Amino acid sequence: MKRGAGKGARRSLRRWRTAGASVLVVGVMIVCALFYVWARHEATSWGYRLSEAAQAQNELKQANRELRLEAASLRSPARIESIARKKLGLDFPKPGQIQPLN
Amino acid sequence: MKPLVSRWVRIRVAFVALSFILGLSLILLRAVQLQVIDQAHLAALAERQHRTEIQVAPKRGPIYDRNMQELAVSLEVESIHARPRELRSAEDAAKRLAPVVGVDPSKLLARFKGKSPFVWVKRQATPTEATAVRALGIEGVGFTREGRRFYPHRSLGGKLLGFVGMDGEGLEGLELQHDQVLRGKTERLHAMRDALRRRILVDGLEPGGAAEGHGIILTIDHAIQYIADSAIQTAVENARARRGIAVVMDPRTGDILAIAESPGFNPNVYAEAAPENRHCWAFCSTFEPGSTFKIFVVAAALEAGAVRHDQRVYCEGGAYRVGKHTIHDVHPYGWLDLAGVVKHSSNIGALKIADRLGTEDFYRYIRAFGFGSRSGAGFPGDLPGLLPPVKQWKNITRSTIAFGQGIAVTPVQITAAVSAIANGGTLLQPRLVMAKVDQKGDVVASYEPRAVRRVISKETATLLTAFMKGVTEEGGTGTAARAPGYAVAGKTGTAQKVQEGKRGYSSKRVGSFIGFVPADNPRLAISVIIDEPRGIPYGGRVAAPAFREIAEKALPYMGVAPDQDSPESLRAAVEAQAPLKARGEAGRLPVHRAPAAPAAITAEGKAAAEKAPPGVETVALAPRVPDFHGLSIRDALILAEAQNIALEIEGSGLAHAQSLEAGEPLEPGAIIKIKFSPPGSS
Repeated sequence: MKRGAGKGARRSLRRWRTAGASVLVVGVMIVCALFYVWARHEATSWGYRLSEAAQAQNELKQANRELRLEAASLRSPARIESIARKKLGLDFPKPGQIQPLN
Repeated sequence: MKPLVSRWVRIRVAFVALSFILGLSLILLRAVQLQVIDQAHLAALAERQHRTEIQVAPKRGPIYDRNMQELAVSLEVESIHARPRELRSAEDAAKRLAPVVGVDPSKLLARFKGKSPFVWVKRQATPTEATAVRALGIEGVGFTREGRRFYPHRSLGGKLLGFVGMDGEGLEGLELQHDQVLRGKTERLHAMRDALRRRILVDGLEPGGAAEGHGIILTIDHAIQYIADSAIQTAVENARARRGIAVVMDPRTGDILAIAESPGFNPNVYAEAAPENRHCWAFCSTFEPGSTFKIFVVAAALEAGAVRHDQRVYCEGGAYRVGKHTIHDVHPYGWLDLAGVVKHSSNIGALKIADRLGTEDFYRYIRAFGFGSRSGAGFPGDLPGLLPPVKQWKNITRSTIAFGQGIAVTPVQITAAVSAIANGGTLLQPRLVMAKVDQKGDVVASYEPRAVRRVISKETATLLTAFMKGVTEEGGTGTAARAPGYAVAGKTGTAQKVQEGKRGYSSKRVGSFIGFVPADNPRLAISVIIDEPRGIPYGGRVAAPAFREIAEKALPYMGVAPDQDSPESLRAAVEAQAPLKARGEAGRLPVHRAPAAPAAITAEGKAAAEKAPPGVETVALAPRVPDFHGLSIRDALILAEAQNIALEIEGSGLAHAQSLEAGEPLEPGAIIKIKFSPPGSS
């Protein structure tokens, strides 16, 4: 009986070990698969964000170009002369009005 | 019964197991087929479905002036298109779209009824138009972004800049010349698309600005360009001329600072300009220079030693026969020295000098000054002018070329040639582009000034400068070119125009003035050409005033101070100070009559105060607050400085309020606050 009981216990232990190993392997595989899915999801998510950021960057660049164009138009000599003459009552300096600073 | 049931169960189990095995085998086989046998084909199909190649359209690089002011920039704008097959009703769509985009409804309908599956409704629409069309919500109408070129200064330098077509290709001027540099390259970018066709950048960001073309920095100065534009426009209007051209160059470097033409054109709306008005005549047209050419004849003869600087020439009393032709001067002259020939612009004097030089040497020097060769500035259609080879010259050719007829030059050529005299004798290649820059503004290539050859010695150039100064002095033909405070060296010219399509000359004229300023330290070489003026056609009358206007406005802007001792400067100074002096006299009357506060503690002051009646001396001795009303900041500062008063300035424009009333006694060390505002605002 004792010998039979020992055999049974060993067999049971082996079964538990096999089952445990199987569970571990399956668990590792599941974790790996989950990690893979998570990584893929993250990559796609970052792809979206990158795309949105690129879009935003393009829009900002476009806005920057528009503002530069507007600034260039405002710096137009014709406009500045018109303001200087009509609003500020200025004129081109005559030779006697120019004082060299050196 | 039991064994039978048990057997039947086993058969069923076996059947189910077999079915599973079969099913799984089929799945396995299918998986092998998909994953192994058809893998390549299917992977390609999947790739095509999910991945997309995005073409990043190139953005055209900007064009800057020498101070990095934008002269041409590109922006993305929306173009409106339609897919006629997707339209519910072409008639209705045309009817609704036409008023919004400003296109004839019948034209739109014709496009929609055509065979093309894709038609443009309006390319490069304005933001207002795009918003309005979007609001209509017509099915089958879509939007595409395209680059559009903008020229913020409109017609300023428009001829030089040229313009860009609908598809972003340079069609004229510098836009055409530097098209490859400005245009950039189309970049291809890989991305994935989801079910909603959204873009997922799985391979990283698009390369920062790689698709953007390089910018170019011109030698043009937009302020000088504006001055030249205004001057040439005024000159053409005053002379009621067909057209006018002004070229402004820095004679030290060959940099073209401005090319102004009238009529000009606005490259933003290039289609509205007549095709012949879109060309830059400074490079692409030629004219017979007339008398301006005489300075090169005299320079060549002096340099070759054919004449001495003090030599005199007999001008035959105004008429001289060459073969069967008789050459006339406008006014009859007898003996003239070389300076006199230049100053009075004697045709006979010039041709006699050319005779002494001889045909071969004459031709050699003309070529050395750059005539008969392209300027090399890098401009499409840059003409070499018209200088026939010596073997084609007739007996009269040398004589006529001596006074600038029978040779055709471009405005840029003659400006470069006069620059050679201005800089001491070296012909420089006209430069239009200083550098290429990337999108960050970093220089990727720069172009330095280039000397072509030495044409004349410094001594000859100095002599010529002196002769040319005589032209703008009393009795010269170009007195109208005198810029107050600056000595001008120049030469007038009035040439007959060849009859178009016929032999001989017409009654039409070209008036011109070329020169440099300040004569003894030249910073600007300027050519002004007025084509077909009506009325008096002389260069001294029609072109010289424009030269003056450009010189007197551009030089102060460049920081070149006028000669303070010149009669014009002194006169202008007196005129400018006169109103201030009068005002200062009124405001600080007591200061002039008696010393200010410190006088009270000097012996004389104390004595004077003691002698004065009580209560009067304080009023008489204290300085008074001047009246600043109506003065500009500059004038107020001059007035305050003259009276040693500290000012606190607020605002800009003209003075409208001051913290201390005019005429009040001024405490020593007091600060007067003055408020300025634009005229008419208060």
